This record gives sequence, C-alpha cells and structure tokens, in this order.
Amino acid sequence: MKNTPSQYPSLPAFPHPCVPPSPRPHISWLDWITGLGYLFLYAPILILIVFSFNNSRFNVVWKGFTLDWYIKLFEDTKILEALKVSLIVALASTAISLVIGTLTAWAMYRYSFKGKRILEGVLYLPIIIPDIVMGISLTLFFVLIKFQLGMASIIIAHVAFNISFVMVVVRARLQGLDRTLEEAAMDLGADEVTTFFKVTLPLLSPGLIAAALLAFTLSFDDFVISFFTAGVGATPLPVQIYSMVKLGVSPVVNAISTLVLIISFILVILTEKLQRK
Amino acid sequence: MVIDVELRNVTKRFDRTTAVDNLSLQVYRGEFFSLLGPSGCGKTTTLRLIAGFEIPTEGEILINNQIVNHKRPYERNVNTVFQNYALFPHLTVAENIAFGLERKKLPRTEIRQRVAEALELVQLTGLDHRYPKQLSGGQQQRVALARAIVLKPQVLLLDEPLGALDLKLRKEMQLELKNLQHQVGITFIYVTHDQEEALTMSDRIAVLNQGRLEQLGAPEEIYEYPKTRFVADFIGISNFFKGKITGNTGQRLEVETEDGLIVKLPKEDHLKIGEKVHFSVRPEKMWLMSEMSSKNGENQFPGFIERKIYTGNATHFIVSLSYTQKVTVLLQKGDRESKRGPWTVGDKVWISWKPEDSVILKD
Repeated sequence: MKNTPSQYPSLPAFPHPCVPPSPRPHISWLDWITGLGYLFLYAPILILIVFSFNNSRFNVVWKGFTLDWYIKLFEDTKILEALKVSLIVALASTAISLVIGTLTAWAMYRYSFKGKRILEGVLYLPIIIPDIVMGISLTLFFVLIKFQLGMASIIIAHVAFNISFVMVVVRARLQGLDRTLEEAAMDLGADEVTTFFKVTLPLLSPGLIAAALLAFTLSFDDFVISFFTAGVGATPLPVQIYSMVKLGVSPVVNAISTLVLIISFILVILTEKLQRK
Repeated sequence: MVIDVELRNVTKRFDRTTAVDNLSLQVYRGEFFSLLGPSGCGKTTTLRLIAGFEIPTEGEILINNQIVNHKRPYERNVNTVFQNYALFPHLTVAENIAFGLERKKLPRTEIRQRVAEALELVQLTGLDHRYPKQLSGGQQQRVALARAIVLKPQVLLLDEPLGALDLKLRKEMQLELKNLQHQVGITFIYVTHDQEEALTMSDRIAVLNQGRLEQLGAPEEIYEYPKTRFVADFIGISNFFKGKITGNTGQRLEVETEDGLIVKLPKEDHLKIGEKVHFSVRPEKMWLMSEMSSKNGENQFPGFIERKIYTGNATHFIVSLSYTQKVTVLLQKGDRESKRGPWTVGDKVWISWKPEDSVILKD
C-alpha cells in the first residue's frame, strides 16, 4: 500500500526541534574501541600487502618499492602448478556441488517426504563440523576404501562441504520465490519447460551465481581439508604456501597471499551484491 | 445464449477438506459473472479449477462446450489476473505484457503493436520500460490486467484484483473494469468477498458458502429476494425472524414469531399451517412512527430505540421489539425522520413494514 503524502502531516525534519543538536562531533570511547578492533583485524593484512612490494628479503624494514617478488612468483613452477591444481579443484567442486546442491534444495522446497527434517539436518552438518574433523575423517575414509589420494580426492572432499553451502544459499532464494509467478507463466501459455527457463531460472539465477562464487571461494581458500586429502602429485595453493613458509617466509609468499586475497575479496563482494539483488 | 464456461457437479477435495462441493453453474458469453462469498468459501478454488491450476476431484469443467478437466493451464483459452498481480519482477512492463504473445510465436511487429494498444487501453502508455517494483499498486494492477487482456482470451478470470488497493482507487477501478469489459467484450469471471463490489459490477452473481452454491442470480434478485439465511445475512443487512404459520388467509400468510408477534407475509401456496418458517426484512424497508397509524394497517409493532447509529447519509436505529427480538431500521437522510422524528435512544416507537417486503428463506 502506498502512503499518499496528502493523508499524513509532514513529519518534523530530522534533528527533532525538541532535541538540541550536539555542538560538535566528538570521538567517544566506543569509536576508539571500534578503531582498535579494525586495526587489529586489518593491520597484519596491510603489512603483508605492503611488504610484498618491499625491496628486501626480510619482512622487517622497508627498503623501497619493487615488483620482483611478483615476477619471481610467476617464474616459480611449483607455485604455478599449485595454482593450477587449486583452480581445477575449485572449478570442478563448484560445478558439481552447484548441480547437486541446487537440485537438493529444489527437492526440499517443492516436496515433503518422510525423514525430510533429518535429511535437512544431516545436509547442513558440514557447515558446523570443524574442518579438522572433516579432513581427518575424509582421509580415513579414502584410505579405508583404498581411494588414491590426489586431485580427485580433494575435489570429492570439497564437494562434500560445498554442497551444504550451495544448499543454504539456493534455499534462501527459493524461499523468496513466488509460486504464482510460475502459475502466471503457464496461464500465459508457457509450458513447464518454457516456464522453468523463462521465469524460474532467471529468478533463481542471482542465488545460483552467489552460491557458485561462495563455493569457489571456500574451495580455493581451503587449507585444512585440502591438507589432509591431498596426495603426492596434487598440491593445492594453500598447502604449497604452507610448505614454503616452513622454510622461512619469503616475500614471494606475501605476493601470492596478496593475489589470493584480492581474488577472494572480489568474489565475496560479488556474492554479497548478487544475494541482495 | 452462448455458454462460455460450464461447471457440472464439480467437487474439489484437498486431503480432508472439501473446497468446492458439487457446484454446477453456467457462465454466458460476454457477461460479468461474480463468485461471491466469505474467505474459505471455495471461490478462489473454483477460479483455479477453471484456470487449470487445480484438477477437479469429481465432475466436469467445460470451456466452449469442451471438457477441459485435464487440460494444462497453457492449453486453455482463459487468462487470469492474480490477486497479488504475479508480475514477473525480472521483466519490464512491456516484456510482461508481451510474455503471452511471445509464447504464441507472433511476429515481432505485431507483438509490439498489441503491447502498445494494451498499454493504451489501461492508460499506462510511456511506462513500457519500467520494472514492476517501480510502479504503484494501482499501476501494477493495470499491468496485470493488460498482460491478460492482450491475449484476447475467451474468458478473463479475476481473483480479487482490487483487494490490495485503497478504497478510493478501488471505486475508480471498479468503474474502469466495467468499462474495460464493455470495450473488449470478453467474459469476466470475477472473484470477490466484497458484496458491494459484486453488486455494483456484476451481471450475475453466484453466492458461495462452504463450497456450495447458495444462490445464483442478478444483483437485484440476490439483494431483494435472498433465498437462504446465509445470502440474506452476507449481502447487506437483514432482520431475521423465526416463527410458525398460524394462518393462510386469502392474500396473506400469517406467522407467529417466537416472541409472539403476529406478522403478515405474502401468500405462499406450498406452506401449510403449523410449518416453521424463517423470513427476513431489509432495514430500509422498515419505517418508524411515533404513534400507531391507521393507514399502515398491517405489521405494526411497538418497541424501544436501543441504539442510534449515525453514518452520514443515513441513520440506523436498533429497535428492540421484545427481550430477544431486535431489528435494525435504516432511515435515509431527509427521508422520513425529519418529518416525524427526531427520535433518540429510549423513545417508544412503532415500526412497520409491508407484508410484501418480507422474504421467506430456506432454512
């Protein structure tokens, strides 16, 4: 219902006349604490980024600007190989979990069946189980069934937790979907298939894209589960970085971390934007 | 008369509830047909059955003399204006209206032309490229209407299309809808719970209650001669009386009500002495007098004014005739009150009505 302006007396302008305006903005203790909190969260990251451009082998003193570490990074075949593994794992696990997760969410939304509640709970479990528990249990499982650890095992492990996240995102979108829109489409002459592609899918797509981006980010950034399920031949980027750090932190690590950070950041922003749409 | 839509003994059950119960009716070509009833009476289900969103449990639905029970919504030559409009949020106004035309695979130029015509018909020219959420409720309503009408269906189904609008806009849209129907000449089946809306707009009204048809007829017929207690109660205000027939003399039927009033009613051949009857009298058919009158010989009863309700253009008097029998009398402004009144609460008055103005009800 629209409020017609004529019906309501106009409200007084915002600082209400009865409340005297404060003389000048002053910084309260709350602002200080907030500032400190942000500093605590982001200062290390800022330092990491800054030192990735430092012209020195040591992350201690600023010696001048350089892009050397980025050049070195792209000359390092091990890192590039790890990046490739990470991208393949992220893409594959995203694609698989998107299809399975969406279909599951759809089934949960559309149909009611026996044991639906329990199934729902089980499907959400990977979100709350600690990564370390999942990592160890998956390794044990792979070993038990004599599954060769490698790229495939990482992908399967990532699908296992990504399905849950995809489901959560897609279900939220489905919940807001108006069934009468599908009825309206059919009423206007669209058969079931046309209705799905012309109405349901477009309405669902922001949710699907958001779910895909989220799954990609989670897979790309994952360390713990990848660490446990990675085999000899396939080392994803976070695991590779970890092994490099063990030999002393080279600014190459700073450079690769900065890049990963930027990619994740972009993906998260995109996800947020699409989910709000 | 050509019949556009026919329901033959249609029943629709959901699990344990019966939404529509053995409903039979015919809708003629070009008429404005209303399904009227309180919420849960089955009117929306009836509409959904005709649209094809529900399949009847029993009975047959015919559109254009063909049984369509199992035809999908997109196989029926009817279109719906939904209660919440159901506009596609990801499409513009023009794309929304073109949706149905595109499904018919019409050439682009024709689609563009017909969309423009439809927009003009509902007075929304110039808003083609807006999205539904950028429109007001009234404008969305018009888009929903245009989207359905542009397909030139045989029958247009409207599910409380004005329910979400405010009163003033609603009154305007009522007239506009009626005009629109004249212009396009399509049969309208209109679902509403608003009796005034149904009376204003319809050619014929089907009053539904608990899935059953209570009465079917023209607005005047439904209002003046309600057949059942439900109809008399649901449409307008009625004063109800219960009693036993004590005489059937010549032109008049004589009934003694439960509180002992002897009321004269018009003669009904099929009723016998001793039988129980219900009847109702509309408040505007009754009048008030300060004294017993010799002119209005029949049906004069004394009572006290219990409440007086002023409603602007009229005044309602609640008059108690006995401990249990209260009646509402409506006096239009400048009508009779000014000549003999004014009465106030507590006054002793006489009420009277013509025998012909009593309507005998089933049950």
